[in-house]
Amino acid sequence: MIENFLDVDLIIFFDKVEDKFTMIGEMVDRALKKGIIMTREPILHKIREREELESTGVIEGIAIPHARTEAVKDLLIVISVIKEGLDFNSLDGKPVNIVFLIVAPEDAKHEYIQILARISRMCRQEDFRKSLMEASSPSEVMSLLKSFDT
Amino acid sequence: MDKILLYIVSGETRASWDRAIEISKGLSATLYALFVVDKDIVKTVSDLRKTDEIDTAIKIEEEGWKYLYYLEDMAVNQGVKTALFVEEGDTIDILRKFVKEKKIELLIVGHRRGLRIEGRREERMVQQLIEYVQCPILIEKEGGK
Repeated sequence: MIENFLDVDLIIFFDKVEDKFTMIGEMVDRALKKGIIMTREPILHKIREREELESTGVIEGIAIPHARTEAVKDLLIVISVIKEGLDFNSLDGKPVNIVFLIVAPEDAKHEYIQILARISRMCRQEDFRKSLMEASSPSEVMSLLKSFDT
Repeated sequence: MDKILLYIVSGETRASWDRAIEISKGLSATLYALFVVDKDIVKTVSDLRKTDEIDTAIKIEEEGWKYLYYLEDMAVNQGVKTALFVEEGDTIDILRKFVKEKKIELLIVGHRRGLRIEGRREERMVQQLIEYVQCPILIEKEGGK
């Protein structure tokens, strides 16, 4: 299911990032450069609005910022792997090393929730988290996601 | 009141979802939502369907996440701050610990009539909640029955 929305060019490795919104900005920019989205600000605004209302640092070092907006035509997944953990203001206070940014059109609620549920469920698996954090390339992350997406 | 917990029993307990959002909004409280992958339910379902317990637990958990994200979508649209949780184990034990550790001030739970197996199990669960969970509990009658 997730495989259909993955693109190896939308998996980014960072050594260190300044803060979560700078990183999310870079993730959105990557999709913009690929021509998958046409605009940046409405998406960032929506994500910022959601993040201000709730922190999405959900599971042991993995954050899933997400939003629905008319600014995208198709569901978008951008993944970041951050070597040096990032403070995501998560409820458990732990730094985040993996970020799944999920943005969907307003009318794709069902698909959006299915993807969120699948990724959240996978992220609760310790071996998946460990493998993701040890991955060293976008193609390795891609293979992991495919193998755990059952 | 800062912290309200909605225990998500199933997708059929939507009246409790609406009530939890309404109260959280009115009190500007954070709405914690919890789904439990109950070990007894996993066993019962896998026995009935003759499926592997691990696969059954995975399916139940993913369904739980869907409920949580649907709830979150509804809550966020009303400006209610939410936090989502999935835990595995014994429901009453998890709820008891969760309420204590997170300093929950109100627990909201949906309740259906015990006409079916699920309903009878939920009735027992509500009785145990009243006995063991150390915070006020609002039991929302589902389906107006």
